[in-house]
Parts: sequence; C-alpha cells; structure tokens
Amino acid sequence: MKRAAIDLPLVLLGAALLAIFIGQALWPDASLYRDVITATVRLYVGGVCKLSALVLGAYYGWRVAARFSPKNPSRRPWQALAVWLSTWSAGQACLGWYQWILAESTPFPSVADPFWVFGYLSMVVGFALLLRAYVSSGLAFGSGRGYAVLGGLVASAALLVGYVVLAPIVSAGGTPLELALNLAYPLLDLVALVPAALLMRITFQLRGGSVFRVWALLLGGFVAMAVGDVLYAYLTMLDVHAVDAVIDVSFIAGYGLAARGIYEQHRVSA
Amino acid sequence: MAGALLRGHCEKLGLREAEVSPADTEALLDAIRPGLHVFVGEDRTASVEREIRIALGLQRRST
Repeated sequence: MKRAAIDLPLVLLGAALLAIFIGQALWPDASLYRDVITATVRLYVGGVCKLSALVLGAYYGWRVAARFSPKNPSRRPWQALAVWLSTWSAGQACLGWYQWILAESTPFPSVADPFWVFGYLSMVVGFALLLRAYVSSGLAFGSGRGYAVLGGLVASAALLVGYVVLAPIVSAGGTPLELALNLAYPLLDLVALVPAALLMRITFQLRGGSVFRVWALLLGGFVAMAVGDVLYAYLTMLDVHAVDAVIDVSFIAGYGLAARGIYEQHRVSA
Repeated sequence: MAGALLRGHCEKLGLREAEVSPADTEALLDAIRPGLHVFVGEDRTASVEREIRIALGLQRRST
C-alpha cells in the first residue's frame, strides 16, 4: 500500500510544532517567544492542533467501525476507540471554550473531566476487546506463555512507575475529586499500557505490512499521551512548569499519531 | 500479510512452497480468512482473496 499523500504535510507540520514548542522550552526568554509566538499564540496553535487531531481520529474511527460487519469481533472495539476520541474531542472543545472564548485558565476539575474519564475507559475497553479479537483470530502466533510473560513484565513496570508517580500525588492532597482525577489519569494510562503492549507484540509479527503501521502509529500515540499525562501529573504536583512545552508536544504528538493510525486502518480496510 | 504468518499457516497445513495446489491455496485462504476478517474487515478480505487467486492464476481478473 502506498504512503498516504497527507504524510509529507503532517511531517512538516510536526517538525514546525516541535521546533516552536521545544524552542520555547530551551529559550523561554527569547524575543521570538515574548513578542511573536507568545503564550497566547501557542495556546491557540496547540489547542487547534489537538482538537483537529481528535476530531479527525474520531471521524475515521467511526468509519473504520462501520467497515466491520455487526458480527465481526473487531466492530465493537473500533466503536469503543471512536467513542474514546469523540469524548476527548468534546473534552478538548470544553478546554477551548475556557481558553479561547472566555480567555481564562481552565479550572480543575472542570466540565471537561467527565469527557476525559469516559474517553479513557472507552480506550481501555477498546484495546482489551481488540486484543481478545486478535488473539482469537488465529493470526496471533506465538506462545500463550510468551504473551503472559510480556503482560506480567509490562504490568510490573506499570506498577513501579505507578508507585513512583502516584504516591506523591496521594500525599499532596486536595479535594477528594481533585485527588481522584489526578490519580485516575496516570492510572488509566498505566492500565491501558498492558493490552497496548500485547497488541504491539501481536502486530509486530505483521511488521512491514499495513496492519503493523496502524498499530505502530496508534500505540506510538498512546505512549506519547501517557508520557504527557505522567509528566503533567507529577510536575504539576511539584509546581514545576519549565517543561510545560514538552508536555504540550507530547499531547499533540499523541493525538496526531493516534489519528494517523486510525486513518491508516481506514485505508487498510477500504 | 506478513510472510512469517503465512509460512506458519503453511506449516500447520503441511504445505511446502514448491507444491501448492489450487486445493491447498483454498485451504490456506480458509485458514487465514477469520484472521483477515478481524484485522481488515470482510470487504477487504474478499478483495485480498481475489487478488491472491488472480496472482496464482486460479481466477480471472474479470470474474
């Protein structure tokens, strides 16, 4: 399958965003960032990129789900992944309402949080159901023991990272709702990491093909989002904001890669 | 479809590359069809199967 025509513009856009945000992290006092690419400009640029990626990902997610028949075990998982990106689109739009329309900082918790939480749950369910569908497909070669060992290793690593990241969040306190949300986001990332790693293991056997490209992009996006979530939760708690630009890049890259992966699945199943 | 997976299915079916008959091809397609359905959907699976049959001379392009 030929590479999509959209790839070159996407790579150029990604490089430009990377240069803008990482440049700001490295030289925050440069006149370019004080006078031209100000914090407000970066807020708009970042927000528009995130919302666009999420909306496009959701759109193609629903189209992919529709390509599988109602009896196909892949249909519901793709619907769950489409719900994930649809609800996150709504969440991002809520953030845009505060940032662009009301021109104020986003409160926490906000009306966006139910969308994020519901989207996370849909993502975890989608990954888990797709894992089940792929394992039962007969194309998932390899021993069950191998998958169990990989799942165990990833779960152990997730527990370790979870302890390091979540313990200080618990001790930092806050209202019960703030605490619950601060714990929920990185925790759900770590939970989703296990089926995501196993999906990567299955599709790695298809490397070189289009299906592998779908999952390399989708799971690469998931990892970028997870890194952004963990950094955000940890550094916000420590009141460290020097790498906020890096966190922004993580989210933009995460949403962009996920959307591109779903678009690739749309091309594969077309 | 990745070659390693196809070779795995060929081994399961006891097929060797030099001696794949039309019946063997159909058996192989039957074996990979459920997997293809899950990964790429029913429509794409049908077109992949058709491409394989055409490539092997088991089906004409117009049919």
